[in-house]
Amino acid sequence: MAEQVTNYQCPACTGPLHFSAKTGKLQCDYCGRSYDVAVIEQLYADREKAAAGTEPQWDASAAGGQWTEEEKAHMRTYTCPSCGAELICDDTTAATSCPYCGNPTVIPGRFSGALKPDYVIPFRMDKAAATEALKKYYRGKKLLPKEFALQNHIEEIKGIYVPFWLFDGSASADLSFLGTRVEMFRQGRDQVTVTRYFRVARSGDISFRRVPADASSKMPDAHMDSIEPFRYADIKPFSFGYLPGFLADKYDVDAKTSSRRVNERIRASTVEAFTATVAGYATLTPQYTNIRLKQGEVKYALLPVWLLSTKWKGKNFLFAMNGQTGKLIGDLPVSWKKFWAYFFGISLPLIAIFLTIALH
Amino acid sequence: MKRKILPFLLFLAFAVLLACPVSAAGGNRVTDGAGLLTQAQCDELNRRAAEISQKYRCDVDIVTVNEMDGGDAYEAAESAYRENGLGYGSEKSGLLLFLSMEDRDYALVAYGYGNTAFTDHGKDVMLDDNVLPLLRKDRYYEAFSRYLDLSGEYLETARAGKPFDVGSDPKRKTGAVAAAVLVPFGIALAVCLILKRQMKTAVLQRTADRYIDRDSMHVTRAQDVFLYQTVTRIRIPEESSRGGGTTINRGGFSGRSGKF
Repeated sequence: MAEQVTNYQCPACTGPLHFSAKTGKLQCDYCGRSYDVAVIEQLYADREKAAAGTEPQWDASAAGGQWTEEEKAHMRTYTCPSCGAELICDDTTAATSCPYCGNPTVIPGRFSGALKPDYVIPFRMDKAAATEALKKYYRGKKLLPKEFALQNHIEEIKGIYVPFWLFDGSASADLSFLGTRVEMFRQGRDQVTVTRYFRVARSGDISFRRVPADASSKMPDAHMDSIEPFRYADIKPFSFGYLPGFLADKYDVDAKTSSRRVNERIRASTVEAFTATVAGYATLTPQYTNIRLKQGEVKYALLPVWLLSTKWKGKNFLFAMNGQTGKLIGDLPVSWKKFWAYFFGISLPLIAIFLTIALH
Repeated sequence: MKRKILPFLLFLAFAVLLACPVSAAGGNRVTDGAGLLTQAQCDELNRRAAEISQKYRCDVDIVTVNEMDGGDAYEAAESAYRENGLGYGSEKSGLLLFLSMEDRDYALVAYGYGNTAFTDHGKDVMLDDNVLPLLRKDRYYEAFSRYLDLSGEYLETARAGKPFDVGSDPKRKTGAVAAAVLVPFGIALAVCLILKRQMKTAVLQRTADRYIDRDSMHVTRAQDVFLYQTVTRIRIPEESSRGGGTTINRGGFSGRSGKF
């Protein structure tokens, strides 16, 4: 009985498949199932194709619109010679300093080009709320250098509409894991461990709506990720009426570039969501993961952010507050003096107590 | 059992006859039936053992034989102890290190006040860290000498009211002190790192969970197929004397035996 060994795996249990000359089929040693050769070859071909084409081409052609001549006439632009930020605002608003780097000289220019946003989420938090939030943010930060909070120019906080791409999309997932269930019991003088191995497979689809990615190269991605989420219930079709009093940044990162991070986030969430449907295993080792993303719509939106950029000891510190929800984030400097004071302030008394106990 | 022990006792009596002469005060503390020591070494050990016995009112004995008649070393040691009338005073207090050379068996048994002075942990430290390593290298005189030294030390600490045990073991004490210093440092470092983390709030998001369209997730295939199983067995080690104290058997002895 001639048998040819192939490297195909059983689709049901991942056991190796052998070609049996007797039946003319591929046979699994483990679960005993048999398959037509053509079926398995087709399956592998599909998988290869699926793995090759997982980067979707987002359709950004529908994102953003054109400004009318009248709208253009009411727009102004400013450029920051220090960090290169390009800002737009309506003619009733004047920019006095760069919201990103704090540079006090911004150069006005002629408005040109640029897409008109599809959506805008209006500011709900005013400047007073932002100032208050920042003050509160400093409070309770035990390692914050005292002088930092004192020297901070909280009043220079600025409201800015940050450009975002919003991605709609869906993902199809094929995952398989090796799962173990472990049972331990005592038998006589032996500790017995029985480990049962399972092949766990999950497939399915999932959709994502309006995953945001900031479209400004000046804005650190980590800052914009951290002030999420924006509540889309308040999203409005873009209108001039929301601009006065605020600056708006022009997008300078195209949708295709931004989509890379969005793809990664969708992929990670898809894997997590389907992995979460697996329960009852002591260990779960991924064996095969194939996530296929399907393109959806891309929209261009302006989202409200309060920004404060400040310099301290030659380093830039940028704080951002979600202008809709009030969530404030930003990295703060660490006072190492305070750090070690806390370290020894906690450890030394504890050592004294522990030693007293240990030596008695 | 008795039948087995009788010839062994005859042998033991013979061995005692061959053994080195009795030293100054009351009885023979070292009985070298297997001939592991020179006469001078035997005399020297005997003298020291007798001194300890007198000083602490607790015998410290050594018995070596070429072979025992079946049985195990522990029982042989108990028999030797009883039949030879070892032990100090009416309580028959004492400690006996017993060796049988044929299969390299050892036993260390205590009786009477010996049970108080030589705790399970004390006996473990005496054997595992001191006597057995020397016996394994056939350095018998040094092993016996170490045995007597430690016995003296244990009896001295016991006389002061605190027999050498789990809590008084300097090695464990060092461990406790090290933990008392390292654990607070660990706690303080953890607290400080948490405080430091509060200073960094701008972090990249790795997932897009909150943008999952509600009810959009469909699981089209969910298979859990059993493949195979493995079984491992591990022998559970004997209960150790971690709690301290001395475990005394029904015959009034405490101790342990094994091979060296």
